[in-house]
Amino acid sequence: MSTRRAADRNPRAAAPARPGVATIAQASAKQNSDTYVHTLFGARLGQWSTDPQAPPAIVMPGREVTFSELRGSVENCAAWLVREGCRPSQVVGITIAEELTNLVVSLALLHLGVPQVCLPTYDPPAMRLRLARRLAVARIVVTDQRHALPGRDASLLTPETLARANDLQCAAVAADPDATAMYFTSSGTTGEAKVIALSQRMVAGRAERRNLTPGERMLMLATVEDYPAQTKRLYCLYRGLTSVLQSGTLSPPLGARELCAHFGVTRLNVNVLQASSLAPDGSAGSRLPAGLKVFVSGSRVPTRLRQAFRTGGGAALFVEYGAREVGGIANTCTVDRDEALETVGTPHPEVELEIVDRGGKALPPGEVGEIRVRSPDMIGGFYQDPVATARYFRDGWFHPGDIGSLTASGSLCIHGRADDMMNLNGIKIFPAEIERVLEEHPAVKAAAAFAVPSAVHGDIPVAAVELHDGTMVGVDELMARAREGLGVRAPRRIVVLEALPRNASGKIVKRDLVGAVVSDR
Amino acid sequence: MENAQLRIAVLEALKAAVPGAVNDQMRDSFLAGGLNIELARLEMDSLARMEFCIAIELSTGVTLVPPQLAELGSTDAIERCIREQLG
Repeated sequence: MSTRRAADRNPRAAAPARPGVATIAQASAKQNSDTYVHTLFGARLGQWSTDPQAPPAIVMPGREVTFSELRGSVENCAAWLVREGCRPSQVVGITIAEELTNLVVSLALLHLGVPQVCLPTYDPPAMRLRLARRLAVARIVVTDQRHALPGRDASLLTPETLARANDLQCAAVAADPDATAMYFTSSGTTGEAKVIALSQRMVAGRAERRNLTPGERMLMLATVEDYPAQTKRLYCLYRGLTSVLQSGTLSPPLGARELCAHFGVTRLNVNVLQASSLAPDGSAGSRLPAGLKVFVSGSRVPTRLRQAFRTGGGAALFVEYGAREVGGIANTCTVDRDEALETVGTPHPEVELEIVDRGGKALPPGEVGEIRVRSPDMIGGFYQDPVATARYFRDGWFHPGDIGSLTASGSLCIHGRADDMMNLNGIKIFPAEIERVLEEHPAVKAAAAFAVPSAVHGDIPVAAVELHDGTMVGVDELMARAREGLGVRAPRRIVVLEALPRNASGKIVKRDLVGAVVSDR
Repeated sequence: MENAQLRIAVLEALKAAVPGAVNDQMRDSFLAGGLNIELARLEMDSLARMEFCIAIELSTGVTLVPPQLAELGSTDAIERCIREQLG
């Protein structure tokens, strides 16, 4: 392992023909000028940086960054990365929790056409190393040397590094927009994470097609090291909009409500857990500013949460449905739709969506079947995983593994994951129906239903619940309520846990729950 | 699994299968080991037998099938059968 500190070296000493110019980029541009265009993100950043009407690129407590300043940082960083040895043929890992630095490195790698993958600081080293090996990551950019991994070069980025890179220049870069630019893992809540490779054109296409309007200011509460949070911030910058970051120089840091109010946030992206903690509770102080759109995604959005926003006043709640493999699929404002159905809205215009039976025949509205989708920016398969690719990509469609139905008006209702559907002696049961009933109890904050496999009965439905702080409820009471609401579809066991296990996106990791439910055998 | 735990598991399975069939007096006597409940007395239908088997499987890990219950006939016999399977 070698950790190279760029600030320790004199950048001019190693300079080639033109001092500090990133030669790899020049060479690439010359060789491929007929075929390739300037990197999409680099070109777009350049466009916004010279637009006098452009809003600030980044606002954060104690700091505002213009597109011009951001472009300068990105180009400095790009030049430094080239000097560190980054090449388009090698994958670079990013292990940086600080939002702005992470974004600058990510944009710099996009600028250079160097493929990148986030190896999050919150993952244990063994997990990061496993992914690094899988993708043959040659180099990792870190801001803390402790995040270096054995057997991988590490480039330590410090504030001084970028300051010293001021006298470097990164030439206009040309790279293949269809080459892999970013690797992500699938959410991994239902099994081993699969790897998704996106080209720069796909990322740019998804950014272009997002329903963003000029003047919007977006805040993501999820860490920048998580896929949706990183890409949505990149989309925002690509479209010339302002990204509001939580990190900054203020201590103590501002909470979500203060950030929204202070920075005029118009679009807040959260997961269900975060949305629950921000939901209005009837008091004026609990309301988020009117005009703010709160987008929630990542897992089922319970009826109670939708109702809280609809009746509580202030911000409007939007439910999003998407998949990393295809991008955004649908969204809905909960004010407009039937909450009882927990719909996720009508598919976006560029997305084709069908509900099909086992034979792949499209089903009419009202009938329940497997969802399949395709979009212009979808991937063709998983990285080096032909088995998973054959399972989820069929006949030009992506099958996300969700079961759903369409209403007469074309809204999509998600019934649950096909993998999660339980078959109890022939009775088909979806976790979502159990979770909905349990979450109607005022003490229940969140419920997770899943199957305990049985050789005789197929799947025995069970559930785990997490209660609101300061509340108590007996298991017998919950069982009775479930029996009343679900009959034979009720869970046969319910356990109350202090907290349900969740991944970084706030999704409940059900595979970790089986042991908790049957541990007393 | 201790005898007392097994008795609780069987009692809970009975309650899941035939709600209200086991009163407080029966419960106390059963848990104390002084009551062998004849299943015929509970008039379990096919659904109730299935629920009983599911509850036993969840709490003990032992698989029973509904037809076995008619053969076993009583809670004592069921307990013996489970204990044998648990080894």
